[in-house]
Amino acid sequence: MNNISEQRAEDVRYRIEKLSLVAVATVFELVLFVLDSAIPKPIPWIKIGLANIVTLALLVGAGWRAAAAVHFLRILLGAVFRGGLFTPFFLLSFSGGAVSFLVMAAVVRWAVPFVGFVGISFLGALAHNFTQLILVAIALSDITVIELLWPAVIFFSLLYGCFSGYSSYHFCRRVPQLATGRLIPARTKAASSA
Amino acid sequence: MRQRRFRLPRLFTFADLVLLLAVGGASFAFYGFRFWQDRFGLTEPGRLVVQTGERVVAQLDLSRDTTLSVEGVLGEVTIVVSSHRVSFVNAACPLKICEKTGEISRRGEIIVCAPNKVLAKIAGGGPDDSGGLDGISR
Repeated sequence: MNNISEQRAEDVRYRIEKLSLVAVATVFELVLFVLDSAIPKPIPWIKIGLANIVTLALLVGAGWRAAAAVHFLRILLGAVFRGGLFTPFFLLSFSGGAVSFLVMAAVVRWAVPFVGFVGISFLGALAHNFTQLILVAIALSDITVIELLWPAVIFFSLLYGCFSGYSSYHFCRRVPQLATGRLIPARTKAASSA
Repeated sequence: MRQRRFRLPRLFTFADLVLLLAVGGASFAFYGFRFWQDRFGLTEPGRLVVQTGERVVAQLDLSRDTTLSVEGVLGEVTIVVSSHRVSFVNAACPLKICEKTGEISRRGEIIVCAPNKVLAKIAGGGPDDSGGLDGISR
């Protein structure tokens, strides 16, 4: 039977491990995010969403809490490093990211064996890009932006979403902790991750 | 307290396929339909409004080929409408920028002969210029 100090040590160990994993994942996402911005694309402001590969992997293998922490930290820090923290573009980026995360988390939580990685990723990309399109239209008070760009949004969401989903799947397969759904180690007395 | 056995979700399921095809297909079909509609002139024919200064001197239906001579400040400006496209020819002005503008065919586009104060713009109907949005910067 564990005595009180062993439980405390266990607790501390757990929290340190959780923190480290989230930190590493955040860095991973940040690097992917920067890379993403550097790759030349036909439509520069529709990103490939490489960082979401990690977000999706975490949603599947580590629970939505860890995924949310990493995802939003990455959006925030990404903006800080790009010098765009207090700009309207950050609001755009954040909103897209938030809606995208909500959609993906909801799908993972409720539709998972039914929908695969590609589908989740596609829906996330679609949500992200459409949110941004709508916000841009509102900001410019010009609804014809939507009229003009919606096919491009759908097309690129399809393309990039499929790619991210594919990458995320294979990434999860190769990281044993993700493949077994237990990146965040279970506490000895608590249930495993959400 | 163990939760149910964890299995990694599949890469690509039937539901995914349906989703992709439905969204992709629907958007492709809709866009193609619009394009086809424009191409075959099934959208409402455009109307050309010609003005000298503030005064509207003519409103032409773009579905009919016509040639119109307009009296400007310096002289005559000839406007040609052919296959739903408008251009200026033989303008009495030094730089002939209006002639060099070439053809316009979309709603919202204009050709102007500034020295003559002659303006031709396309209003209503026809493939539109989508609000004249040329690009968005971020």
